[in-house]
Amino acid sequence: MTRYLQGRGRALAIVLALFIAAYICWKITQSPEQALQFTYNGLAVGAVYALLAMGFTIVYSTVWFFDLYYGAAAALGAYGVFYLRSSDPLYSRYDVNSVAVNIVFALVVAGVTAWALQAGLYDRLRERFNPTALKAAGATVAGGMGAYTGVALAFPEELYLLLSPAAGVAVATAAGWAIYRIFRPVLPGALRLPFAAITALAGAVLGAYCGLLLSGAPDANLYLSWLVSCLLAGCVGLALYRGLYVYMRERARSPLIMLVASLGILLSITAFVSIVFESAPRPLPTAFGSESWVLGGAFIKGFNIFTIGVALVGFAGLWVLLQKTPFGRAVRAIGDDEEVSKVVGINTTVIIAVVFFIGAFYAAAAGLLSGHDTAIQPKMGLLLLLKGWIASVVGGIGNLYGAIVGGFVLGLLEQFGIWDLTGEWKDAISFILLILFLSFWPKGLLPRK
Amino acid sequence: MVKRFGTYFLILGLLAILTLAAAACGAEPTPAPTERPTEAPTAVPTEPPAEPLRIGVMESLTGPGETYGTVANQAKQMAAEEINAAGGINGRMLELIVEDSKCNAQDAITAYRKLTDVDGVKIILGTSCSGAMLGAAPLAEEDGVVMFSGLATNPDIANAGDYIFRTAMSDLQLGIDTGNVMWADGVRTLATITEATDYAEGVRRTTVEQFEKRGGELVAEERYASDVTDFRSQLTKLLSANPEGIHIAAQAEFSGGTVVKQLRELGYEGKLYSEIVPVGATALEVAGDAATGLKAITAELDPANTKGQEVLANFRERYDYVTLPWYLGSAYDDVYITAECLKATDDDQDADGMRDCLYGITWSGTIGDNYSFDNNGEVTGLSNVVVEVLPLAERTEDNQGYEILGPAPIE
Repeated sequence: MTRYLQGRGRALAIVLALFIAAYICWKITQSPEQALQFTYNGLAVGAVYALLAMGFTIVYSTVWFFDLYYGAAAALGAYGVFYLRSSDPLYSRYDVNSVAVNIVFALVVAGVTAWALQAGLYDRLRERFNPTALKAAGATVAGGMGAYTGVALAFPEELYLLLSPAAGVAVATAAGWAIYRIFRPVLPGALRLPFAAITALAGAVLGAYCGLLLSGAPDANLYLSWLVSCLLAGCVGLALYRGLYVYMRERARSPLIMLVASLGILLSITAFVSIVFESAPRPLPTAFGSESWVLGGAFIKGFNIFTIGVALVGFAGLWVLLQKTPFGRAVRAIGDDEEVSKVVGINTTVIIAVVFFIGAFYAAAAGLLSGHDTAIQPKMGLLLLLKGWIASVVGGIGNLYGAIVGGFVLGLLEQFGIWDLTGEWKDAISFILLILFLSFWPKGLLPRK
Repeated sequence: MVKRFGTYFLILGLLAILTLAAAACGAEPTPAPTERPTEAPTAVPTEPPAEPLRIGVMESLTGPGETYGTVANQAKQMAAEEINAAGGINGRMLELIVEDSKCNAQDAITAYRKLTDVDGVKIILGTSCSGAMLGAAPLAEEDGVVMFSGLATNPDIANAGDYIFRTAMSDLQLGIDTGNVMWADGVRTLATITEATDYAEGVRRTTVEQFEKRGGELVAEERYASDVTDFRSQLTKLLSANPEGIHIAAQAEFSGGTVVKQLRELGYEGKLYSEIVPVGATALEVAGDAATGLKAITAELDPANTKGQEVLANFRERYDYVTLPWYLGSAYDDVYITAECLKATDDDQDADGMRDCLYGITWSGTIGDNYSFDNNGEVTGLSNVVVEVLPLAERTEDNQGYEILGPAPIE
């Protein structure tokens, strides 16, 4: 009986899909130009949906629960940019820079740094050094990071000056480490120490150069504000996991409780954003690419092409991270069975925390890109969350390929769906699509293996 | 384990306190300036200070009408302070009690209830946003409370009741003027995009009616909800109908400006028409150069009216910006007209006296000379003008970003 229903459901789904495809094809032959314009519009919003779905997928396929904070991360990312860039003349009426907000974020960053140091270094160094001294040093570093964040946020105009040393240090560390790791296997043991010194020096020079370059670039503030917003949203995601979800996961077996908790977090952050920034929609300062290009008779904004590029690069980055690195293997192992992963020695708490960070980072990127493209408003988080979720259901929940395909498919179908309807139906079409997929194709276009 | 949960709750508690602190700090600058007038310095110390005359103010201080609601409120505060600085009304100070009507009927009713039940006022200045006005007006009519708006323009407000007045001109005229301007410009096929609110729908309806009456054809129409920020799919559909002109009826300056911007991004180079909102300061900033050439029917202060120019200069001095000057002036005049009537009744609870005084008054103020109210409480003796938005380089604070072309053409 079940099998019969499944068969009939499948047949119905295929007929439905064919019908939709036929309708779209017929429409395209009717007016190819409008179809092309819809395609461009659809790709532009689809890129944002795809980014959201990717962030959503990596979190969901690891811990198997819907983290709704994730929508708030999109809003935080967009409002972070607004906050850091609001000194533009357009916004002179709104002096939003508030000490309280800076303190909150400074505390979040200090907490995340302290935890990262503790989780990453403390156990390794405990045997060699005095634990009290280590704790003091860790606390100092964490406090310093927090204070630095607070100061950097308090002076958005000087952001590039404040952040260029940090960027320099980051580049120096990464470069030095990479060079050392690449050459270590081919070097005889005696040469390692001098070589390490040389790489450190090279890294330092490179870092200083990058820092200098950054402090002199006129547009540096915009890109830095993107980075800072995404990092902050990621840090909040990580802090929520470490400070809240970990304990809930220990105690409550049902993911439903965490769903409700994260709903509360989403609503609180939305309220927080509306209190600080007021609830009306606002534009983000123009980034670049605001002029339209004519491609094949239809128009597309330069920034939209950039957004599509970001989605593709974001996909590639996540793919490499998940498929080609030890971290990715650990993430996939946790997604398959968390208990067994713990038994074989994977530090699941750390890995999952990083996953939450990445998810929120992607969501924040999607939020700020959509903000630059159209506008920001406090409730954008909820709207984007739903779209990201639908996109990942359409694409195949828990599958990275599904996320990017689902995002673009949702974006396109939303546009083509209102060809004969009025525009107010756009959101309704997304949800009808969701219901159709949940009924007939619950595993999505590209099911997770 | 116990210790661990202890830390956990400690962190939670800390976070909660911080959030509260942040909320409190963030909430401080939000506008709720119930201006409590300082006692007049000239008052004789032995005499107890007279009771202030208390009247309500309802404006959309947040929500889609935030920009003009805020301007209206600021203009009213300025007028009230001027009146108080000049000695008040018959020696009594004027106290404004402000509530936020949030540009929708539901919140307007909440604000109205607060003003009438808690504060006990009988005279309410406001509100901006036609939807909010139409929501609260039936209650005011039933309770015998005077509602006096400087900004609500929906035609239905004319019939809202005996206690409902406004200095804002009805959209009926606005729409007829827009239809005529488009016809005079040679536009014969029209597409419309409309925010789904009472005000915008009212404007669209009267505009299209007039345009079709003259012989024009409506080729496409789209609507959008107030919280939408991406209009490209609707606009793509409008453009595929190849209209000679597009009419934008927006409630929020933000969405009006964004529609204009996204229309140009989609390659539209034809004519754009609208009313009032899309030529506001915020809308023009959002749209940037895309708004150049946009024609709008709006009410504009007469440059020859010295009173109007003086009020604008004072406002700029005080708040460091100016937007929608006519509506700013309208809100400002409302306070003076009310003060004049209060001078006669000397009782802030006498709504009937206020109503009768308003029917009889003829006023010369910021927005025009010798205007009065007809039997419906509608303002008579004022008229609209056509303006065209200037290129970005030519926009200045003084010209508001547009050039006045003159009175709207008639049929």
